[in-house]
Amino acid sequence: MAFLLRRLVFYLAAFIAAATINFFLPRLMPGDPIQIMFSGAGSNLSMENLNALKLTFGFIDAPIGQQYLAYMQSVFTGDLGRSIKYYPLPVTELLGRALIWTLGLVGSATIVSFVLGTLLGVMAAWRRGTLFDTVVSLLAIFSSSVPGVVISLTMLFVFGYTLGWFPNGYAADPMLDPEFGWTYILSVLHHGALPMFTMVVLLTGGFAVTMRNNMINLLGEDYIVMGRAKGLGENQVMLWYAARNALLPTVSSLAISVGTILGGSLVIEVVFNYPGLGNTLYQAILARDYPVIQGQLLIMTSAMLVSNFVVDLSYVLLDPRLKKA
Amino acid sequence: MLKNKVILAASAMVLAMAAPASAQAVLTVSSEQTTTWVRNFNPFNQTSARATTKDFIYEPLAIFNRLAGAKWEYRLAESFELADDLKSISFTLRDGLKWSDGEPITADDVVFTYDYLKKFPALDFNSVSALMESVEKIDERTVRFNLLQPNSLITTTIVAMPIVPEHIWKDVADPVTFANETPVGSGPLTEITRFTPQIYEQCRNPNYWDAASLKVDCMRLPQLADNPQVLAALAEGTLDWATSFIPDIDNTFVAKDPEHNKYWFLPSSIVAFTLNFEAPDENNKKAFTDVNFRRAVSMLIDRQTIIDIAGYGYPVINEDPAMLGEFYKAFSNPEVATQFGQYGKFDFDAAMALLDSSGYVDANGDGYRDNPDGTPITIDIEIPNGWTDWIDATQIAIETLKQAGLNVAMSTPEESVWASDLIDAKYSMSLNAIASAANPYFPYIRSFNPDDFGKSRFSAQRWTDPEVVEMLNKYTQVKDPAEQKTIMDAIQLKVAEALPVIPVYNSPSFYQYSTKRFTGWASADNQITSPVVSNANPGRLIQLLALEPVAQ
Amino acid sequence: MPLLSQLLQNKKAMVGVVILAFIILVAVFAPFLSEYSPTQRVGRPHQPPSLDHWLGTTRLGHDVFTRLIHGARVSLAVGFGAGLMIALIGTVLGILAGYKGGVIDEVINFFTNLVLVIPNLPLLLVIAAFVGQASPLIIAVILGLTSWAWGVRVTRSETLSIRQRDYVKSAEMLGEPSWRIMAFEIFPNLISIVGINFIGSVIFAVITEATLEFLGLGDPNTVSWGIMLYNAQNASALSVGAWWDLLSPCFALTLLGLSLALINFAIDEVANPRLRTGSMLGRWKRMVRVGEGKL
Repeated sequence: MAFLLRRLVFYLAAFIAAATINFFLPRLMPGDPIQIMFSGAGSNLSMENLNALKLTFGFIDAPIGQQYLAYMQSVFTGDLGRSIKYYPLPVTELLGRALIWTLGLVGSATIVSFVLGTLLGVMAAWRRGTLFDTVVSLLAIFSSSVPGVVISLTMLFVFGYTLGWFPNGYAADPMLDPEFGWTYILSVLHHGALPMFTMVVLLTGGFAVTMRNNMINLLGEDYIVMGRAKGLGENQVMLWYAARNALLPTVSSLAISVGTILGGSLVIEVVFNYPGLGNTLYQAILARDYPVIQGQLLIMTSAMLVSNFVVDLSYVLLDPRLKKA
Repeated sequence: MLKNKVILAASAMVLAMAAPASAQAVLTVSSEQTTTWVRNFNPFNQTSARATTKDFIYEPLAIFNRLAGAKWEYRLAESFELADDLKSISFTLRDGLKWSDGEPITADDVVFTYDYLKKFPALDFNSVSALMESVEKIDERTVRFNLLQPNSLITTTIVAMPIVPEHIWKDVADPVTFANETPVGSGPLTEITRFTPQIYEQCRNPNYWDAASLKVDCMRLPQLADNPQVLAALAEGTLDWATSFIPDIDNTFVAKDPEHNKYWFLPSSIVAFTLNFEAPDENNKKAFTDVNFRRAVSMLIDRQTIIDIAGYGYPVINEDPAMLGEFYKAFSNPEVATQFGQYGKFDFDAAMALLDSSGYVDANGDGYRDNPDGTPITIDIEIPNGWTDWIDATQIAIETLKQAGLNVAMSTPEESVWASDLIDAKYSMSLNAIASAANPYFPYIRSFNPDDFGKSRFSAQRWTDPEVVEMLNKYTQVKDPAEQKTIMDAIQLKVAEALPVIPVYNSPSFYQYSTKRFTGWASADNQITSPVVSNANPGRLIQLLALEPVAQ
Repeated sequence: MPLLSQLLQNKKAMVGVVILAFIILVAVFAPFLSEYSPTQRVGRPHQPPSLDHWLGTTRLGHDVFTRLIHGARVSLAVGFGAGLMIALIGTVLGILAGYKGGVIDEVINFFTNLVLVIPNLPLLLVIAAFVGQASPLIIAVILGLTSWAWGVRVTRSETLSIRQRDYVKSAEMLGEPSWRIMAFEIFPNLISIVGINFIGSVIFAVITEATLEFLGLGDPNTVSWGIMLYNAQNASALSVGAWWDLLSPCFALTLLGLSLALINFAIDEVANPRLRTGSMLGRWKRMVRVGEGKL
């Protein structure tokens, strides 16, 4: 209990620290968004008009302390302000639209690669030393050492441009209305196939290796030998004894990577022009859309904190021995 | 069984026959690129309103058609009259004009709009209020603008301002943040029939005064985030009208459907190298303020290669030392080319000779040319990060400049940092774009008026000449076209002699179209108007009215 | 050293080392391998591979092959430089936290967890954008200063288990100063973990530098694989069919990553018996971290 409480206090402190960094970081970036907006447009605004507009966008020239307090207050009340680039769209709405796509793409990719990777890891560990094991290990090495951008671009080139099997970007056909009709859903699936496949390629390797190594570590344990001695079938021993125990740390690793996954898949979204959270953040950085950047970093940090807490919870519940680490 | 089939067949036929009667002429357009549509049709929001708000929802009083005879086309106004003393101008609205909700459009709306601008300066994106002494209603259809100074070019400024309905906007508490989601307008397409983050449709104004000319019922605007996406849509044949940079357009677009896919690039803003006359580095300043140095640098720019490689051949070359180029052909002074033309052309040997003879030789043996007094010249060309065509152009320019012995490098700060450096004149050399306008007066006054130094990036070179400024002022105060021409000729000659900026090319404004579903498109053979569908071009309204659906 | 000899016998390691050595040699001898300069226009734009230009030309007319081999220098330099920094900071802090315990441990732990909780790539994006045009040196420094957290965790947990060993206890009783114990008793037993951490960090640095530059946050004057990707993407290389412009840096990055990962995997295999006595978490966390870096 004390352990959990300490962790909770830490998370609160971390959240405040993250929110503070969040507040200062965009303000330290050179240039301001109004300038960007007008350096692009061809209008000849006089200085008075520019200042008037700055006022309406909330760039109060209040002392930084005041701005900070106002920001902290808004953070805890869930008000993330309005986007500058897409004025007057609230940040929460903008991120909400993107979140749906990210959850869909990234969520499904994670589940698929987790299941696939874990299965592959189990089988590779069981058939240790055989060709299967080597192939799986090599594929895992490949997927963990090649940049996401490279895999995405290659996929796009082979399947998008050369073979033309999949569209070159986008969440769905822009001509269609979002609705729950068959045409739209099919279009979404068609457009999401390539990015999802790329993510699966990227993620499976990690899960496979994790599972494999955990399994290998376990295979020498007594209860495995015991299971075999009892006359249980190979599959049973493999799945119900070894795999189940090796699953624990793997699930923990999944929980931790959820935070990362929500935070990005950025490169994949940028290459495939998928309108998810990662792409939104990227566009916001290019446009210096402070409210969106801040809102997004905050959400991602919170997601990481939550998933870390879940992991801590699972430790305490399942293995008090590991408290020290 | 057979009976069912017959019934099915019969009903199918009936449906098929009924369909064309209710089919609308829908034009699919890409006018701006964004990642999500936000429902904002406020015509005063220059940067966040949808690009189809101006001209299509809020029709201008008149449109200057630069291409078809350089004349005014009257839209909401049936005429306007500039007083002889150039201190006032009156517009007369057409009879029987109605807003899309049925209310009449009257002089009250015009007066209201201009009072509104005074009340909320953030809306005045054209700084027109500052020129007005007063705006008075003469009668139900006539408004007179009384100016503070005589100004022959005031018409262009006035017609750029949208007129909004008093009966709607007088109740708006904060017009700057008002999104105007269900606009009441005066233009051809005012009704928003569908709006999602991915697509929206803008349809016919039930009370449009020129409905007889309008054969397009709706405009459909799919959300497209960037150039590759627009290209994909164009290549698929789903877009009718677009304005986007397309690489290698003959192969990537035209080749997909040579019969229907077409494009026409018109020259637009001037892109020129600027050397900072107030450069923070004293040694650089010595070189930059010497016209011989500038002339030599100008002759070291291989404009054609830059156009071919960095610009894919799309821009139009600008070798005019008076900065105007092809775009302002109608105004150009042939004397400029005769006396100073050579300084605008790429000529490596002549440049080397000029540098040598002006004393820019390597004094300290470091391999780079120095000032005649021996002090070093180190040039850093600032280009906004991410503007790849400019970056490419600069890299090409740097190659030749280095060959000639100049110490140049390129840095790519953030766009807004670049903009502020230009505004505050804290850079040494850069590329700059000056928007083109109906009359060369505008680029000249925006670039060389000392009152504008420190306010916009167009005056980044910080050069001025009191005679030129005086002549520009006089230009707006004379009414006789012949007199205007004499003044403009003299101005050009002065500018060409000083070569304050080094023009490279005129950016193309992009225009792609398909004749699959609509005909009547402007083209090089059919120059009815400037057909660029971006919101910087009011002429697009004329293009819209010239379109006719093709029988499918 | 038994570790080294075992490594040399491992097939995976040998393949990885050979490829890596090849890349390093190419990078070192780059100017001699091509008569072109990487920043001069030497051909017409977007020419396909030919005898004159083995990998074709870019949009601006630069020779792709020349840029590729010169780019290797930057990618290797940033990779190993940042990797070294990351591993160094991680190892030092990890040993300190694990051995000293107490307040030092708490403080280091807090900051490590704090850094871990903020998502990596988005933070890097924001910092790189803040800096403006980030030259490879700056990218390496930023990476070094923000990515050490996993290394600390892993090293710390290993240190914790080693700390209880006999030889450490006896050194303490003999009165050896802490720093000597940390340097000469604990560190040598961490070599394989540190090695894996280092190579993993190199992989991470190479990947992240390429990603940052691809997204346009690098310095367009540099010649590096990431900038090659950026230029190709901006020139719409895929749309216009100039696949060589884009796939060449992709291939190079893949090769480098593969070679490093093979070496890493081999070290892990060889050192396996030793690591089995440590906490299980160290290993799976390391694996996850290697996977986390690329997102």
